[in-house]
Amino acid sequence: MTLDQLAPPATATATLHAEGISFRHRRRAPWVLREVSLQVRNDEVVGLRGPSGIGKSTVARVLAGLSLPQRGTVRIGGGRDTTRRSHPVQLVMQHAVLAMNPRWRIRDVLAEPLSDLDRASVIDGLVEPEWLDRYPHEVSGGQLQRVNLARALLADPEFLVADEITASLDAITQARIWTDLLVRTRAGAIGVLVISHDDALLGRLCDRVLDLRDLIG
Amino acid sequence: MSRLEVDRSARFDGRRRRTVWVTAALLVFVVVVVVAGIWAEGPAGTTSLDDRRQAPSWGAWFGTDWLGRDMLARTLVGLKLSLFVGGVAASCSAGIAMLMAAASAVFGGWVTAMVNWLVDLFLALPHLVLLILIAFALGGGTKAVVIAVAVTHWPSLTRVLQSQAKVVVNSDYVALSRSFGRSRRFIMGRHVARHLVPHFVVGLVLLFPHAILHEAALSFLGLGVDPSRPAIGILLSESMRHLSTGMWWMAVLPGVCLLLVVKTVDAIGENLRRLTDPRSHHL
Amino acid sequence: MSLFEINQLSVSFRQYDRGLRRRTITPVRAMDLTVDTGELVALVGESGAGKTLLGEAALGMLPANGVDAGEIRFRGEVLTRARRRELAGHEMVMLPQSVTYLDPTATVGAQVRRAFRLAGRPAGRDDVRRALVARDLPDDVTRRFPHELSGGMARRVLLTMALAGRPALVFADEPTPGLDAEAVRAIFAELRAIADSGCAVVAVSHDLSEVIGVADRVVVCQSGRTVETATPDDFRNHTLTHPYSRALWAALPAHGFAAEEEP
Repeated sequence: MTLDQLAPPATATATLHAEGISFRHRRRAPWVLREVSLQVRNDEVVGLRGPSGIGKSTVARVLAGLSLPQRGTVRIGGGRDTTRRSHPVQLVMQHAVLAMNPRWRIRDVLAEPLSDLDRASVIDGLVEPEWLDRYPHEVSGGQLQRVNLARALLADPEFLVADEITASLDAITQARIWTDLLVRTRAGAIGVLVISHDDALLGRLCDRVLDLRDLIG
Repeated sequence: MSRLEVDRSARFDGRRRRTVWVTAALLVFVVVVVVAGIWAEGPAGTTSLDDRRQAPSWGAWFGTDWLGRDMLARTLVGLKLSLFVGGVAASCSAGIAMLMAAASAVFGGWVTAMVNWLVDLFLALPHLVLLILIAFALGGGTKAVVIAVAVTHWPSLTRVLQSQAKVVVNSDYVALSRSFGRSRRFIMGRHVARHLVPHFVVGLVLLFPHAILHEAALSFLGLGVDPSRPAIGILLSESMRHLSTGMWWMAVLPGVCLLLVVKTVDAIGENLRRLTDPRSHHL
Repeated sequence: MSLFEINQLSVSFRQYDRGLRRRTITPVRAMDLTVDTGELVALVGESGAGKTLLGEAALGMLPANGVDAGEIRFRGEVLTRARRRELAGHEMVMLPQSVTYLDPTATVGAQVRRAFRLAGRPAGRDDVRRALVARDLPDDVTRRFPHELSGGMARRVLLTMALAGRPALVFADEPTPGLDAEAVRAIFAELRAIADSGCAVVAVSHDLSEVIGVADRVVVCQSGRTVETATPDDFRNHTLTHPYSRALWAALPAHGFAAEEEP
């Protein structure tokens, strides 16, 4: 399947709002982010670009609730429910191997998100059964990134933030992973924020592309 | 590929397997010492006034003391006692270290500050002086030795466990675990504790030789186990009175045996550390 | 005869799997590569195909449990492992990837002078300054500490240090990790300049669309084998011979973004 054959997106039912978020690591440390605002609807794929070191990964962590901003809010307008246990914004990181406990088998890694989702249907075609009994260092980088993505989808997110997820993979593996990702996010009405330094990739994937330098309010 | 390079790789090839075998052999040696020590309880107490002050011979390998008791039997019982007291003390000490590190990781904040302060305090005090003071304050005896050794040996292991726990708590996979809705208890049990267990086991085994030596030291000074029991420290202290009369074997042979056992346990700990090192799958 | 030749290189590792079960993995099966003075050869292809291992094997830097077979020649001489390690750092160098290779407590000038001394070419303060200024660094850079440098400046300092011994062969392993297009172009231009100044350069990269702009030849690898040695024009004019090379080109976002191997 190629990207052009994907089903048209569902109409938007939820919007992720980041309003004036500022972040720094400690009090008195220099600001990493200052007054950043952006919106992502759950029927679109939005790109985020910007030079190295400007804080793209920090935006990703703040949106996914991994880092708490000192100022500003992240909220979802019109989300599905409020009783969910996993965070509605899930982050897929560039280095999959750091995102998993090295002493866990992939089976356990995939079982970690708490959700009521039917597991088989999401993993189908993304994760091969023979990887399940291996440890993260025993599968290739491309395979591990697929596991990483599968785990984020198993958390049943409303939004997915993909931070340079194919930056260290070859072009063929990259194209496969993005196709597999977009098929599933379109089907599940999951909004996607793609962070990348590769403008050609952003152009290929995204409905619109934001430059972090323009978002500082 | 040259001949030399094949050999080099072959040498690395067998390393892990060899480490496992060596560790197993060392463990068997320790078990044999303990079993022999239990078996030697009888002969160790049997006096034979006809065979007093015998130098080592084929009949009595380690010689006899001034009451004609077999020194080999007394040494074996002493080693068993040392291993037992050392083991209990090291376990208590490692347990304290684990509790401290876990509390610091779970609660953070002022608990961490408190743990750090205690660790600094105990590391700043001279080890042996503290040991003697505690044993003295508790009035001596086996229980006093165990307590004294246990409360003085936990700080360095606490530091190791604390830093390991911190690495895990600050890792990306724990941050993600939280975002998957996992509880603090789950993270502590499945991520942090699982990571700490191998460090704990290795730390425990490496504490063991320290505990044994300090037990011997306290017993030597008369603050340790019941003086009627043939602990190694007591054997050495008794031998002091007889060295001048030329009974060298009373001091040398038990001392060498103590050294041997301590080095054996230390080697087991080192090997375990190497085997549990995640990078060792290359070896 | 080329300056540097690799023929049928294979690299395998014997490692413990779980417990005492051992296995041998062979990530590099058959790799060929030649590079001559003044050339820039790019090594592209599948992630995990052993591109990095080729450089490590060539410099004798494989981990202890790694075994390589095949032939590595430098100036016509077949290199043993020991000989490779002798040449590494002098005749053959690996460009450091990360800024963390600089000592944070010493000034740039002191570190670069030390690099020159270690390379067997002791240099005075002024020689060092000239060498740094020649790489477009400001005049006062010798007095700065590493934290006072931008990422790009730190990289050029490292470059000056790596090239202090006038190496004949330079390996660059993924020199452009996660950088934006401008920075990537600047780095590849630098590598091109190094080649033009009389070095042989091997650049491992997966930034295929950028690297063909500067490379003389492109070696494509898949599952531990080099499947094709092509010119940049072979990519542009679609005259590639191996299906994997064609698929790699077609999968680039700027072209087809095709996820299938045989279009």
